Amino acid sequence: MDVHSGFSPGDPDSGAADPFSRFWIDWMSKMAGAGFAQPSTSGSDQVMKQMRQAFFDSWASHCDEFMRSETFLQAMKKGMDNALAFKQQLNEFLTRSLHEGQIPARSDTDSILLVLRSMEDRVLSQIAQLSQRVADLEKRTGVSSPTTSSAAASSEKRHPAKGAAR
Amino acid sequence: MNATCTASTPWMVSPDDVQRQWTDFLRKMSSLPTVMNVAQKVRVGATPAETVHRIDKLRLLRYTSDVEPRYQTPLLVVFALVNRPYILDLRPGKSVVSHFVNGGFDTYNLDWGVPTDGDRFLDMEDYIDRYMNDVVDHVRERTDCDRINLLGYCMGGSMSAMYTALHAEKVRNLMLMAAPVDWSEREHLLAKWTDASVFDVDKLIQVYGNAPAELLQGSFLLLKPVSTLIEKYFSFYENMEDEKFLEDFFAMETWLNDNIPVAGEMFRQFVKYCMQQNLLIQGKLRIGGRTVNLRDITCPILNLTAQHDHLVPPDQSLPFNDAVGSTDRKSINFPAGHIGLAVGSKANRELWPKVRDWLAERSESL
Repeated sequence: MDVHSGFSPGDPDSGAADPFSRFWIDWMSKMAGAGFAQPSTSGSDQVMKQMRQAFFDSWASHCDEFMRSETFLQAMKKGMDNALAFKQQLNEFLTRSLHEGQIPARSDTDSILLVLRSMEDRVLSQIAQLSQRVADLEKRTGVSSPTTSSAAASSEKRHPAKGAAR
Repeated sequence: MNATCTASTPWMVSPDDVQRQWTDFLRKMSSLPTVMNVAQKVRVGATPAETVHRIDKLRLLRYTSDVEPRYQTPLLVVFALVNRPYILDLRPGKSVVSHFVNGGFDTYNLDWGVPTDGDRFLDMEDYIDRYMNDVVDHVRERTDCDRINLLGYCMGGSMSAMYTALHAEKVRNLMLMAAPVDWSEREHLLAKWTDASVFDVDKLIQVYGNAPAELLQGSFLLLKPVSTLIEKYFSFYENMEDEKFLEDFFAMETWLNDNIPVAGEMFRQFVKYCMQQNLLIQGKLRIGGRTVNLRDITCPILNLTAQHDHLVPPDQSLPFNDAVGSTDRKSINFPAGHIGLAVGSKANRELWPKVRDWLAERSESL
């Protein structure tokens, strides 16, 4: 009977054990190279360090390769999706619990912050318009106040359309 | 004791070797009290500094020195939002700031502070057009100087580039240090991890508010897991009798573990518009209703990149020089890593004196 297991040790694209095999072969060849390439007079500590470094280099290279793989990226995405879903459920539960006790939750402070930022935008936008109008009036009447005109220019530059931007 | 291996077989360990390793181990263990002592007494920050300005959580530091000031144009250093800015002044001999302070520059450092839940809606406009602009105006008024020098590191460099494009009239010289501006190359590990298909930054910020410090630190460590989680500790073990090494090691560890969250909206916009959509280099990024056009940058440019940078590879920084409108532009690709560019002995010995000279030639003397 002709049976195809779908796994061949020599094939780089085969089976799940293959990345480990490749790592092992790469590591052993680097370690052996580091160990036996030394002149006989070199210290054993130095040889051991070079072999250790060869191991780390090989390991780092395979870690990098793995962390770029689709398998890792999808696992990372799934892990993060799950963590975020859990955290969101926790947030919702805490919000409901706090609201039941008539206590403000994070969502309430968020709302207040957003209202404050919106108010700030509107006020700044109004100030920019007023400064511009004052500067225009001064221009027409010939009365020049450097502080007003520079403030208008600065305000206009910093908040040209802040309301529209948000 | 004979420390040499006479045979060419390192796999065979002689009794002498075992005894030597054991003695070595005992000697290292006997130095543990010194290690603990150094760890407790570790100090970060080499140059004295005073806080001269505050806005919300941000503070502006001015470095003080006995050195006679030589240049009227002040220097403002802008660091990233993801860590603390004292990496640029970590220890004596490992301080970027000290090169400029000792060279006679009035030097300032922008400490963004630690954002809390209430800062989650701070966005690019707040950080660049409001905070940075206020700080630059403060430095200009304080020094009676129309234009200042800017040095931006990492994300702080990207922000400095954006700021200069929007307020070109306030910047005399711009220096970028491992600053990403072009994310078109998607083969880098961080680019793969932050790709829109696997990283939903909208959801992250919606759920967490701010970008959690632990997530950022974990991601940075995982970029080079063998080096940051294993090799580093082997190196520590081997050098634990060297007090100078220990001082540097613990100072660096203090900084590496001093992570801070990033304001949610700012993080979301930076990841989405810069890292995922790459709008900055294309001239399509909008801040506060205005388009950030890098061609508007016409001041002299010095772009520093690190050859072995795994966080911001040079190809993310170098396109900046072709995107600006400046004619006086230079780049230096130094053999160092992302952090080594700031704290490396070689960088402090060879690179930073050159950078200081470059800036001195283009700054107004007193």
